Amino acid sequence: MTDEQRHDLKRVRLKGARFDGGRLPIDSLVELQNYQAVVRIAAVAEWRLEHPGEEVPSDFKSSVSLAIESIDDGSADVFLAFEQHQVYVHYQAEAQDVADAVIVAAYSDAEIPILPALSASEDTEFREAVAQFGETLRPEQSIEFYPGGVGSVPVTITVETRVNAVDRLSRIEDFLVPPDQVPQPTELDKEEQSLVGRITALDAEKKKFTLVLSDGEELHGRYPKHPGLLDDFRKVLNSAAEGPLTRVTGALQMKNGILYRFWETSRVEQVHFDETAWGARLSKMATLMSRWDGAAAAQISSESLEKAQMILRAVDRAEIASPGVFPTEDGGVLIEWADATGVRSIEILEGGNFETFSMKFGEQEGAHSSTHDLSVAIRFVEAEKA
Amino acid sequence: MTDIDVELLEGEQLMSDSDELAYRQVAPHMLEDDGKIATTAFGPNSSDNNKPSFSRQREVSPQAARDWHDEYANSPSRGVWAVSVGEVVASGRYVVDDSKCALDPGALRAPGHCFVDFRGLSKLQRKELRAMLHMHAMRRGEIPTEAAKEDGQLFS
Repeated sequence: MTDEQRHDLKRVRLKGARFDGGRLPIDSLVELQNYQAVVRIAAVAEWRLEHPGEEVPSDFKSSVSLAIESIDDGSADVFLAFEQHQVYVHYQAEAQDVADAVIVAAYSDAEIPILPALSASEDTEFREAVAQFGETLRPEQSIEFYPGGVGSVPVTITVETRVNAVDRLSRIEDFLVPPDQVPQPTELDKEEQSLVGRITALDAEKKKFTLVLSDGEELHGRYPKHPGLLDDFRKVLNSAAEGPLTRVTGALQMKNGILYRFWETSRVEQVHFDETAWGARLSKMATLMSRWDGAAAAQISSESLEKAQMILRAVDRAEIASPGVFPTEDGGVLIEWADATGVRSIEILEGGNFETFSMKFGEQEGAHSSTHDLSVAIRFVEAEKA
Repeated sequence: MTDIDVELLEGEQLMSDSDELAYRQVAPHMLEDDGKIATTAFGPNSSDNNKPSFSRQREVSPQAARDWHDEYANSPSRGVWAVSVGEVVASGRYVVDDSKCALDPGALRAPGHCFVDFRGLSKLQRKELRAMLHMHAMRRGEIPTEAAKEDGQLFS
């Protein structure tokens, strides 16, 4: 089996004399069952996030099943694969990532992630299941668990490292928290939304990506229903420092009002603005989320930003006074020259059409027009010079 | 926009002193770094039902109005500008004191709250009105106030 063929597999390497020659003692199967139990609990949590208030389907748990794909020679190098159940495959993939993150956190100094959909008792069950991982180990034996895939850096579980991990998973501090302050399971809000940032990681097999926002926050996303987006993602994949600004649109989940992840992605666009003060201003507008005004304002559309850039290039060419450039609550851009003597403006609507307006101090009515013709809008700009 | 069509709800009162100022807090996204203020700063937003909030000069100082805004609004004020009741009337509309209107449970109202009535106006009329208010406010200039100090900050 080549590494490429192993991409989808979970590698668990059992080391010690007991496993020499690729032997897998029967009692070691418990370890693999433990891992399966952890993923199953996480999968149920994922399901509940998507289906608040609904019963988990009766066949759901059994659909998250691990099978031993192969055992290599040497120390028992076990490759596990999930039996793919098409209906639930998304939950299984997400759950595996969550379970892996918890195992990694338990065996490092990282904060142990909280599964928001689990009740307090289910959370305890989950942590106990993770804590049981490695329970059959004896001194001089270890399990190398490869969270990020076959070739990733393993987490090493031994009798010694387990002591600290079990302690971290026990959440002994929770006994000090009054019952009414125990966090309750949360539900996710999901809405069509765009975010602008840089794509820094891509997993073509799992159809997942990582988006780094302008404030450095990392957000994960998926695109299982739009596999054709892979090419778009590849074009913009780079480091956070070097990558192009990219707008990702899809079903964005929020957890307790905080950005959580793109559950499904429908559009990936490279956002490119001129390296000018205007470009910086438009880039900033591109990053505004819905309700950026603290009320119900829409996100600024790509179409209006693109047209705004064209108008602002005309402003520079015509060497006229700098206008103010502002987002509008309808998702457009307002370019205006406004002072105590008068107002002239071009509003670029969400769909890319233009509305021009001018009014002088003392007048009761303004002059206005509407057009989809960029050249008409540019002529209006150039008239500002006159 | 010469005809003034007044229609008030229960508890709403017209402000009648034409010299009285109505203070407007300008949000960050309506002000550029070089001081340009959007005309939209003087109009309604996406959720105020065409009743953009102002504060009555008679009831509250500009600084107190800004401090209240900074404490309770979604985004801090970047400064205070003002229009007079007379300027609003000259622009074809009016200013309404709604301090006696019933509040929804849990809702807050700023001290001296009033609004310029944009209700019933078309998009073009809203554009004209906010342009007129903007020009009046720019003629008056910024009303001096200070930003709220951050926790632990003794001096601006």
